[in-house]
Amino acid sequence: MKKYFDSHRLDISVSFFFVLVMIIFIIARPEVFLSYKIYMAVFNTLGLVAILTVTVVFLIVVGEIDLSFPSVIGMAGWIFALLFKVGINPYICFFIALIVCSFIGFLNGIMVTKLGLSSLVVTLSMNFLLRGLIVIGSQAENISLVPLRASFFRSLFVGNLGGIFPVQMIWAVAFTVFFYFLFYRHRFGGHVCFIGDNTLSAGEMGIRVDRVKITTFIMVGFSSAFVGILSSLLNNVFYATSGSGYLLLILAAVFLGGTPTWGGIGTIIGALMGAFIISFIQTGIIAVGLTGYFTDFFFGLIMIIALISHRFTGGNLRKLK
Amino acid sequence: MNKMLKTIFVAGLCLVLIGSISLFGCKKEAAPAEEAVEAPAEEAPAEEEAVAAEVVAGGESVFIPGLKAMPDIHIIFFSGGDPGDAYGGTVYKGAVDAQAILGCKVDYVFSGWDSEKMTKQFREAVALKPDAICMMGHAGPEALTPIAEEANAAGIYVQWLNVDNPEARAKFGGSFIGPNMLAQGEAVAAKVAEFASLKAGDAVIVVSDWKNPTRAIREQVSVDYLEAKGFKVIKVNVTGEMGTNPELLIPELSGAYLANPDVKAIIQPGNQALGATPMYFDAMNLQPGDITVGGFGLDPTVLEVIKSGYVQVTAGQHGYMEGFLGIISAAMYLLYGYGTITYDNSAALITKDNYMDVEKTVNAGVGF
Repeated sequence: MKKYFDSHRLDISVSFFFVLVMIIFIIARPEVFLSYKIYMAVFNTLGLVAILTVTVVFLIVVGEIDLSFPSVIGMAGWIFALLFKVGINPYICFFIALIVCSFIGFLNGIMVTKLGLSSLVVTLSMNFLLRGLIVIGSQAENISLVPLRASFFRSLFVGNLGGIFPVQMIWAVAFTVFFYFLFYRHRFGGHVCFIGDNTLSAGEMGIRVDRVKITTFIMVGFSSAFVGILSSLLNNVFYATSGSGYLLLILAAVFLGGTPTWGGIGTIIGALMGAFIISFIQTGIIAVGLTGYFTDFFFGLIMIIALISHRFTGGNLRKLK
Repeated sequence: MNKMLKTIFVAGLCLVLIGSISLFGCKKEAAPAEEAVEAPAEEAPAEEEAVAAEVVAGGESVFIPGLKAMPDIHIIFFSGGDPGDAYGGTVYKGAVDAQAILGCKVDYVFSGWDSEKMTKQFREAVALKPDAICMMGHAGPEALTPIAEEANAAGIYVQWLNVDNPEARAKFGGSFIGPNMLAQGEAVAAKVAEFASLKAGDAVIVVSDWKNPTRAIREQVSVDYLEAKGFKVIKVNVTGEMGTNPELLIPELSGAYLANPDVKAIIQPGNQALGATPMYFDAMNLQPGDITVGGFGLDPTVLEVIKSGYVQVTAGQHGYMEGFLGIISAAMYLLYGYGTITYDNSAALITKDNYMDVEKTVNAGVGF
């Protein structure tokens, strides 16, 4: 038991914090938070946030960052909507968008590893570049996806199971389970941690550092594309500004989930819980009767308290490094 | 070396793939615009067609001798939102069309509806010494009037759009093209109250960017109206992130609705939020008409949700005319000293009973 607790301190710490926050909300508004309706409503967007959050963990742990994912979300939505508009089968549109955006991740990875550029600067630049490309190409026009509204394709990705449970949450669980095993049970996850901890030593151990880093960038590109398409399907329309709103949310969820900024250490379950906390804070603040003015204040306060609690319950991660 | 070459080759292939898709998108988007310009010329009688063609080509007008294309006029135009913004995009289109007709030089500024950014950009615009600036008053007279004073001292004409700056206009002249927000806010609130058959104790959720008062003028007027009538108002804040990704409003909106069982109506601030009503209803397990939804703005997406019964009323606003007349007003004043244009671009309240009257205009992509 102690061994399990020691090896999963971060996960347990974040989960505990989430439960604590929910208990406070339940006590404040039991009629809202003891009903399934609020959870089903939040799961609509929580699924999207969770998918991207658990993926970005790999990149943060390997010691890099990708700030281009908001525009990759938009790019995927645009490619999907554009190809669908000209009459291509939505499944083919879906795969093309995934492939193109994975290549964008590949490009980011190439620039960071082979050209030695800072991932912060390169991906930030790519964010602007891609957004500009989307706006120029789409002429800032929305593209309607209403014809897909009643289709099986849409229900496969953003439908409601039994008319209640958002399917995107099932996708989020699937991504989380896959990445959990990839991170904790596969050598790839081990390589990611080694590289993030000490890149030089990892290289000398025989780990193919560049290949692993490029793979993590491709993973983020792929997940961003997936989320971008789901977002457009959920809205029934592609917006040229799609994706812009996810940057701070995703990064906040990753760091709130206990993954530190300096790499080498991370937690998939923590990231998932971070996504849960981020999503439910907004709902809870409004539901307990506070106006919109209080949202940012309590958002920041709860995040700081969460980070402090990780420090004391999750161990001193800097010392471990 | 071989590995590096392989890497460069693959990277190049990816760039070509992305570029092809982008160009494909650009090419496809160009086609509808060309068709839209051609269609009216085909339908017009021959005489009017000749005149229209002459003016569009920037040639000499037969109505105003000496009116030529105006390449020497330089205008800096504030569109308000970011590129891709639902309403700002419509304003931008109107300005671009006016520019095409008059032939003047126009630089477009995008501000993401951020007051601080607009103020900074206004200051920078004045430093560029254009002939005129089409400016929006969101940042408020305290921030903008001193800069308007600098513009006036530099001989730059400032045309006010979307949100007025009466203080600057009183001191330095100029006119205002934009909506009567007070009337709009009250009209929508009254209609929503009527459609929802609101009774004492009923609640209405009003969504807006409450942290930015100049962005929430209409919605605040709606709140004041509803509260004066004795209805409860729940304010939900929409951030810039939610504006670009409407699905991100679901948690807050659902929280507000489920926490207040007496909610009978929702008022939304703009096109994107209104257009996303079916998504919000799905998340809250509601059917069209279960609660009344009203708001501000009209585009093809909003038209669809009015037709399908999700949204009951919206206040149209002629964004296209705002942009179009803004350029015309500034350019004609500069060149010929004409009085500048004052125009209230608030449009009618659109419901399921009258949407067909504006459907063609809205679907042409220029809003209403």
